[in-house]
Amino acid sequence: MRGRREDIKAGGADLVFVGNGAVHFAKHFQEREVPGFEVYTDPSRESYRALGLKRSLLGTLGPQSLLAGMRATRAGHVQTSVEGDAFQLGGLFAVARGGEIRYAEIHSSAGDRPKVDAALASLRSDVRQSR
Amino acid sequence: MAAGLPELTVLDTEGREIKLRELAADRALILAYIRHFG
Repeated sequence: MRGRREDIKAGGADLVFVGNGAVHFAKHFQEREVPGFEVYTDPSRESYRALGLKRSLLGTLGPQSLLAGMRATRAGHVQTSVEGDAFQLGGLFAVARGGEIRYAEIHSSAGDRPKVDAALASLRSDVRQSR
Repeated sequence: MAAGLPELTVLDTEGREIKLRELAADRALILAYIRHFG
């Protein structure tokens, strides 16, 4: 995701991360993993529920997730701890200026990869109109 | 899809409450909801 920053900027949007751990975990994540990006947290996970995001034991510990974890470890991304809800799953949203959700991707597995290009495509009409 | 962001708040890295809708008040966002920070 963070490697797509320039694509996202070129698409007329800002990339923002939301997690669900304590504030100090959010700050640590920002400093360690995504310096320069905005990071927010929702420890209550209310916004996760409101946006339809899933919480699942199978989705986080199932075979698809384990394979994805092995791939990530081989690529050098080692998960050292869980700072937040261990069974919460994520998702990706494209939000137009003003707050309208144009694209929603609800992940079913910890191994799901965000489809950044599809999210950006949903915002393209806004970019054309603003130029 | 025409739903809006929910009327809820998140916390920034200093612990301040921020309305989700304010995040997108004057810009488009790719909003990545992550599983956890670890």
